Amino acid sequence: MAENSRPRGALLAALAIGLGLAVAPAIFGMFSRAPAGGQMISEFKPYMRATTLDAFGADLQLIDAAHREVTASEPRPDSSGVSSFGREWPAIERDMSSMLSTIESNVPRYNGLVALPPFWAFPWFFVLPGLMIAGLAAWALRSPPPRRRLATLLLAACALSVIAAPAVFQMFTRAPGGAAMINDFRPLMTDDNIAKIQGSFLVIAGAEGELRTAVLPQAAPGTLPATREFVAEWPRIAAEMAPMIGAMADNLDNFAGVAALPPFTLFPWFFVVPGVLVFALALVARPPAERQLASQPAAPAATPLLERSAS
Amino acid sequence: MSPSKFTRRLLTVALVALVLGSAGCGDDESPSAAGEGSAPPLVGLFAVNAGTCDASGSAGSWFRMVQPGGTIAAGPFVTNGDSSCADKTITPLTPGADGGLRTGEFQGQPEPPFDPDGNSVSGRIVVPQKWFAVSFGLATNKTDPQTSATAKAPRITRNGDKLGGQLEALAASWNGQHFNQGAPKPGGERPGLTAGPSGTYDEASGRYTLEWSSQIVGGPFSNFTGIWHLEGTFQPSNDTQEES
Repeated sequence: MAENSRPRGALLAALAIGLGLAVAPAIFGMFSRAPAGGQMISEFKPYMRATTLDAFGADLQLIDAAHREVTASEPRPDSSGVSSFGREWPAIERDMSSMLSTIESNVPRYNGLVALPPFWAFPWFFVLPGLMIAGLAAWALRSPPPRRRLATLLLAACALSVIAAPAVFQMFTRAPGGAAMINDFRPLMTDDNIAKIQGSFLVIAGAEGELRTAVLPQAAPGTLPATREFVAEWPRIAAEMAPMIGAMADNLDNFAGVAALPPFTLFPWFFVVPGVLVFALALVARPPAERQLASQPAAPAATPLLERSAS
Repeated sequence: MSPSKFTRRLLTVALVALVLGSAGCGDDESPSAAGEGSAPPLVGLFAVNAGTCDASGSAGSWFRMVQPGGTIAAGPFVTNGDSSCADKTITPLTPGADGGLRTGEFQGQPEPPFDPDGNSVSGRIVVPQKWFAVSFGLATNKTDPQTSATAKAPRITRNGDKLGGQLEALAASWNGQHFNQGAPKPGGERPGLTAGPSGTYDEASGRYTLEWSSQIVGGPFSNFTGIWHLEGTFQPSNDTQEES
């Protein structure tokens, strides 16, 4: 009985680890948060391209040129929208440029996340190996030594595949990138920031309307070229800017869900640590080969470590 | 009957009563929503009088938008540089191809709902109006284009000279984006400043005013609230003025 306690304890521990892995996604709310993350990744896709971000940058420069022109013109246009634009644009430009550079610097990290398996599948990467480990451990517990040897061998193989999974999916490089991206986006993805961006949009749009309907009709032909270009390009700029603001606003909850997950940097270790433990436990629980068993003078009876209660 | 069976039956009866009661409370088409004892719906066309603006203010039908954190009464309101009014927070509306808002049926948006420049081409209720250089339009859709939720056809009820009802199918489209502007929202919710519809009706002349507000949920103008004011003359459909 004493000789059985060590392998039995090892297999019970493996069973517990397997069950822990299987229920971890439910504990961390991954079944709802992971798909939310997937939706956010998908809806951010159009804005996580260098070409799109460069185009936004060019639009900011165009508006900035119009601002310089309008604020330098004499007499200064006398309208509330243009005045607000004159006053508030420098801060808007600073904030928006900063936001664009934050987004741009995270494009490689975003691409790393996109290359991971789909987010909705994440919980199942815990559940399925967890159930396999638990099932193999339970089988080993109930099997006599010859079959238990096979069961522990499969358990060790399963543990090795769990250990290898983060390396196969390049989680060690991609997951920290995801964590850094979440941290960088944290100040952007707030109600206050969305309201600020919406306010900025109103300032720019309000100015454009007054420049188009009141200022430019009074201006001499050929003057205010940057302002004319801004006005001409505004429908396109608005058409590109509005969906981006919309994507940010629509994903506030999704972002909050993802940000509430355990830190991405830990994710590879959620596989490696249990995998190593289960592998070690499988080795401890592995019974000696039959011939070794036979050569031992007082070999224990070939009985399961855990009898079925009905048998 | 054992006490446990009795308790179970009592709970079942209470649950059924609760479900039936809450179903009645949640129905914004119910008479109580319009504040009347019996509220026959006005089925037909709420013909829209064009909005007009002069130095003293605006009249007729119009739209304005409250900024997040504002109030219906005091704003702050969004300034539309394209408004023809002196008060550019008000955008006047003019009747569309159908002449106004129809109740008892949908006035769905065309497909595609936008021209290549993002201007809305939904022009049955009101003529699309410029807003920040791009035209917005109105439609009532069975499937709300913003939320994909199923909506009921517009229904306006009256109690004496007061109007009520529901306009959950109403949606504005602008610049490739859709914004539900119903009151209540499809499904019956009234987020934030969403209120109405309410208004007045003069049976002799058919003249009406109808006003509602609808807070945008999601998209670039999330948490902004549209205020809609229609006025004009109600024209009952051919078969009946008031469907009982």
